[in-house]
Amino acid sequence: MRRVIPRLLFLLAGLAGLSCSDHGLSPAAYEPGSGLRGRVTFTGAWPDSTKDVVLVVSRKYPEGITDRDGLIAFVLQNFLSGGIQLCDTIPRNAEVYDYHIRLQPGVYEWVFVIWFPDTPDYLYGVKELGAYYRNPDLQTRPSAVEIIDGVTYDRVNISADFANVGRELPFFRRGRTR
Amino acid sequence: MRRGPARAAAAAACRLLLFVRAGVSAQDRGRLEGRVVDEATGRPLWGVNVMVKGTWLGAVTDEAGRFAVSAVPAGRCDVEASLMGYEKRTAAGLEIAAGAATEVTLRLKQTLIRRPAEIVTASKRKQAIEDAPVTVDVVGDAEIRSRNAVTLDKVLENTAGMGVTDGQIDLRGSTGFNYAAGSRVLLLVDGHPLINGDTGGINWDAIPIEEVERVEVVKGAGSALYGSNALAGMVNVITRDPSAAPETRVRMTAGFHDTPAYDAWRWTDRFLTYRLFDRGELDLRNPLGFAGLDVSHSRAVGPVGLSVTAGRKGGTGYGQNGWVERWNAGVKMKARTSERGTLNLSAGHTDNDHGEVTQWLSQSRPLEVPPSEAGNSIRYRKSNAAVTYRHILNPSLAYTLKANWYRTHWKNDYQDNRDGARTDKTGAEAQFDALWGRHAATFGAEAAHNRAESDIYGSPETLDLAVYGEDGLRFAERATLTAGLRYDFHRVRGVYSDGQLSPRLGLVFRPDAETSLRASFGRGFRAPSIAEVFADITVSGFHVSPNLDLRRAERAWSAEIGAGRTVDLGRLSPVLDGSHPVLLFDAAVFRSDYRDMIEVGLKPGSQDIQFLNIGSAFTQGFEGRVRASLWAGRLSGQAGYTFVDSRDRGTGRPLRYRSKHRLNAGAEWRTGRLTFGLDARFASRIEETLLYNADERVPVRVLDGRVGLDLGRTDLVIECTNMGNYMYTLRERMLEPIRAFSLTLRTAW
Repeated sequence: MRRVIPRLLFLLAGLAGLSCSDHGLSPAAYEPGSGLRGRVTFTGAWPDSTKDVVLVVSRKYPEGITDRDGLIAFVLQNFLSGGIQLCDTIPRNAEVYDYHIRLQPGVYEWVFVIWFPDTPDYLYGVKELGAYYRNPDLQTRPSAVEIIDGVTYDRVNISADFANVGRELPFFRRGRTR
Repeated sequence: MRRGPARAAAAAACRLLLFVRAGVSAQDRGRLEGRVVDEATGRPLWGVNVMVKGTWLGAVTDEAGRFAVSAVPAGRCDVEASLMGYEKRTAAGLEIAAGAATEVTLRLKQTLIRRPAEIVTASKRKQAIEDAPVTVDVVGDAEIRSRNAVTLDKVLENTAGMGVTDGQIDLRGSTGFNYAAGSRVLLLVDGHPLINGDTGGINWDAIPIEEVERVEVVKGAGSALYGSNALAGMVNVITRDPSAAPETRVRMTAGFHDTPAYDAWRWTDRFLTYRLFDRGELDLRNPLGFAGLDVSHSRAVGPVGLSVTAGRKGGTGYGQNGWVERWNAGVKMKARTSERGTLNLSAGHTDNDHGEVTQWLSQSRPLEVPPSEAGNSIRYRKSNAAVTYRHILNPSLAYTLKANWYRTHWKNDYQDNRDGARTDKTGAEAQFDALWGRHAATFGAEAAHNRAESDIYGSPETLDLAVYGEDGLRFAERATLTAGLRYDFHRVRGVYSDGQLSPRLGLVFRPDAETSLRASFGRGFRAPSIAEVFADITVSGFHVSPNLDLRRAERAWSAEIGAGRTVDLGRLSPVLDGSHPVLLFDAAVFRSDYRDMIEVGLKPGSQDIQFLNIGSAFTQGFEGRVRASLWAGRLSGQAGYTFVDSRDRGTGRPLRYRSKHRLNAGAEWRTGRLTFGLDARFASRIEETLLYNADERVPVRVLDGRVGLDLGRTDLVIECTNMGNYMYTLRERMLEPIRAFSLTLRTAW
């Protein structure tokens, strides 16, 4: 037992040291790991009625859903199940925004930027400002990104256009070619 | 001829009356008087429970260590004395003379490990902790006082198998986190429920931490005695009785938050500018900090013991919107109404204004809130009152009458929301405790009414009625079988009504004085709260809609097998001052199978959020606890490890907000007037969350350290919480407290 006590104290001291050397979570933007990095470029003026503009990733794309209610149900369902993640809230009046987000490995079919109106039920007035297209000249469907463990994909750039705020439903662009 | 149920009930009532009268009509009674002292020092002991064995007759010693028990049946009897931190002592074969007083002096020997000889929560009556058929942890006043915690949950999170997320208790993986709605662990204060009437959650700030004597944490389904919410266990907070001699106590706390681990996370220039180890600079002019003052006075006014308490606490918080302003006041009264009757009254009020944080701005700026939430706050007021009257009808039969009221009143002051609610919850209970032969039985009836007035709930009302009974049969010299059953009727006015039957079986076998083997099996349930059924609110962009179809209580069958043993380590460590080093160890395996679990989900065919019966799930695991005391108690320690495997049967995935591994460890070293203490908490990474499941999450690795100085009636504690300044979350996008330093001064006169 006389040996046990010093060992116990040594263990506690080690625990304290371990606790001090590891700070747990860190500012995501500076850490390596699997994820996405890129630039959001805004076109047009930020509307006064803006609540938030947020970068979003979704495991699935709402293929075949064209009505507003169906789309919102898709978003909420996937949001609650973790399939859709709200990532960075973009600072107001930014013209460009460089992002770096951590993500779990897997396929993300929809990387996009959304705009929320400044209303109590803002979730239901959401509009898509832009999404990631590998070929910006062919915007039939957002490009999927497959993330492999430990790899950060760069240049996942998005053009966000505030003109889309005034567009009629559906809130996301579909079948548009440039 | 077959007897009708009415005649059978009448016959039973007559037998009960005869049973009562048989005791009352006994002619030969005497009085037992005496004192209880410390065996080693001869110092009188205050607060010792003295009981005449095999009866409900007893008393508690005063400051002079004296006690008196009236109306003790003449003849031979055994008297037991028990006090936390002392070995239970029995004076056997005392001769009580009719019409005279018998004097006795009991000497108690201090134990090295502070834990109570008796508990009151597991079976709703006094019993030895080793006789409880379920796992019980007790947090004593010394553990509470040695820390500078402002609310009790911060002390309890060091208990084995227990986690606390935003005030919500997770006992062995039972709850995880459910957005403050519907606690699956019942919180009691002196045996009265203190669960919010609307959300079904817990407000820890309604409990004056300085008045807490001990906390009993009972793990496993307890609905057979306590009904709804006791699905996974009970936490019973026992407050101290008023002292007979005038006593004033003051507690002053002040502290400050350190800087976050990364400069990029500093959101205000009020963070400290020091670099103690780099530059040796320290600027404490205007840090983010906190302070508090509690004052209480206790005295006897004639035959009535009275204590009053008041306190104020405030702080900036460590993050944006983290500020809090709070004051509280309370009163407690205890009086002997007759030789066999005791009346307890208590009341309290807490007013708490605080900033509200839903989630951080981003992981790059986790101590700030989104602009749309800046300045959001809540004003929360809570008032409660409770009355308990206990009367011993005869040595073998006692009854307790209880009534309580709990009002919660909150109002949002958000940028986009001004909703609020006021809820009044009232309850009453009649409980009987009987001893006969080898039986110890508890039975009673309970009623509770709950009414809310709110712009988000409307004006719903609920009514709960229940009857219960449990019998403990000592069927062999060392074995006790417990069987209990409770029926609860729950009605939500104008919506639905429901009934729940909750049985429980327990078995305790003690092969020797140091060993206890236990097994239990029971059913628990939780009725949906008013918020879960009626909430109609738009918050953070989501519309939460009422669910009037939420008519099924969530239920669980729970089982546990455990063993505990006390080991004398005299051969392994020196025996000092006649005190042997001691090790207590306890282990248990457990499993709970849930049905109709209530969780947040999406309303079918709609875009609204609702509370829904989601289906079945299970939790199972292992828990091991050890406590040791060496070198005459100068070095003591405890550790608990809990493994929990939880699974949603519908999805096959782990339940949300649960950690698979949880380790709590603490050590304390006393030398002279100084005490050095360390508490470590480890919990493995939370496997699932409701929102942002792909966000980075890390295990919990928190170490708290403290130094205490004992100056007799005054003590001082310097504490550093989260010494490693470890950054972690327990729920989505909410950074847990960063490193903080505090100083607490307590004094009494």
